[in-house]
Amino acid sequence: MKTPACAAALALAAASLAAQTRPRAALGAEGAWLRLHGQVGATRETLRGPALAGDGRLTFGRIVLGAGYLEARLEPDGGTARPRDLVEGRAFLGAEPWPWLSVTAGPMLRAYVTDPATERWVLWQARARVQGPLLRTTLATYVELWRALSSRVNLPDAVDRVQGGEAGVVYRPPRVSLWMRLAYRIDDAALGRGYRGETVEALSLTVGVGGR
Amino acid sequence: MSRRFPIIGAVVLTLAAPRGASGQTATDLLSAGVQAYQDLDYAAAAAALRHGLLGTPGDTLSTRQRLEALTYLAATEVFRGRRDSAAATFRRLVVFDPAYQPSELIFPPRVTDPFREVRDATKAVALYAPAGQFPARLLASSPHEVTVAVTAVDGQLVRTLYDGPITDSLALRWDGFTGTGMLPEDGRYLLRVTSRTARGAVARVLQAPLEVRRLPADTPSPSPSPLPPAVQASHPLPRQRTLVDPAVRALAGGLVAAAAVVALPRLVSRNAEASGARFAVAATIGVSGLVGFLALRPGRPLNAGGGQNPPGVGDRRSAAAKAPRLMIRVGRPVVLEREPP
Repeated sequence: MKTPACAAALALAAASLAAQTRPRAALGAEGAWLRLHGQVGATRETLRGPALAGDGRLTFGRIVLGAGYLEARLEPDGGTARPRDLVEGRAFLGAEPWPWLSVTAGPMLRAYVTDPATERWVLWQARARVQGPLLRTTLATYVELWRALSSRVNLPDAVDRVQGGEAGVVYRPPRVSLWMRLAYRIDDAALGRGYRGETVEALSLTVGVGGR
Repeated sequence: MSRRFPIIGAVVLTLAAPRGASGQTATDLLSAGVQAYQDLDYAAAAAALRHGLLGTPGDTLSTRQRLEALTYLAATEVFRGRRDSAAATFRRLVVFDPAYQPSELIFPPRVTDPFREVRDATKAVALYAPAGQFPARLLASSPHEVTVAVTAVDGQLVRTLYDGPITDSLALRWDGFTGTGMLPEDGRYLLRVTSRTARGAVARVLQAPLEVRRLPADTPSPSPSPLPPAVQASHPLPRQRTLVDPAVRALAGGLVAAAAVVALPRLVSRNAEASGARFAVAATIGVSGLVGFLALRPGRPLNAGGGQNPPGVGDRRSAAAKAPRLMIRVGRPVVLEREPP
């Protein structure tokens, strides 16, 4: 079922790529502070740590495609939890039917690496992002929500849902192609009918170039 | 076989053009081009419209006809699959009249969508001065940075009237003082509007002659010209510019996004112990929306020339004259430079 959908998306993208002559590219480097809330039954743990991330985005007319990568080292905030490394990578393809809306979908891989084991997630996400200017071309804000259409994880519990959201403000100084983004992000995974849960929050600052 | 007819038609029309030019007026060629477009004979339409746009001395299209001809020509190029040529024609259209947009009742999205993309990428302004007098209004094709200055004929700066962003329109006023707070000599000056790209490069310069004449103190003030209407019937602004006031949109957008940040944990997670860090982001977004509202709110004076003056200008101004009585007439503007296509 996924194959025809991917083929259709690629065909759409190829048609658009051929039709457009001025692609716009944007690259961003992100520094973030992450907080992970984990819950298994009645046991709760909190881990915190810095993260480094990067993302790139290409826009061909109304078609967007891009990729992102994040790495973080999370230390327990007290308690007996073990430190974890978080690694995420994602790719997406989508459309901007209007300047204020973009809809994307794509795979996301996430891994929590601890000493004895690695928790691996494979997600197919759909995202919708609403954006609008606050001050001409200088300041803009956006809100993005996503939900996993399908998910796989090497845990014994069945996945109930994985969803999240992000909102932030983007500052583009006049006459330069640099931009800065301050954002808050939250991603929540629920498993085993609420028995297990993982919530990642991030406060991020991104510096990027391009995209106009 | 049927594919050959448009080509043959175009060749015949091209070969006949020198004779046709003497027999057909520019208006006739425009009508023929529109008719050929409606008959799906795009090659013939392009040839007729191009000849109509060229015109001959003493026989040129009116402003409205020129807009119509450029629009049909661009649409023709779209349907011929010549995207670069269509984009170039759309660019000509935007520079010719930044406030114009093709009718969506006549042209399909296949035409209006690429036009919108070109208009958004093209940084141009038009100057509207009713009866050739100040105050005037600038209309922009898309948001960008502009510098509006009055200069002497030799290019020497007299006064910077505005230096900043323009979204869709900007009221231009000049209190009649130079940048040093003095009254200018009677004579001819230039109004220069420099449009810049996002990277700060000069996209194009619109220049119009200004005739400045000081009026005797006992002369009745010339009747102030009303500002030209923001939207003219023949030059409809794009729809998205008139839906909501930009200031209200900025404030509402900021508040909604700030509220979304605060509410995200509850929306997304059932049992998240959300951190307070999100309030910093929410506050930043809210303040940004407020800044946008204050900067864009209606009634804000747009002639920000005061900010360009050195300290003490206001004192010298009041000493020189409280209210100079000037007659400022604006001539026909021309576009001096263009960004490379």
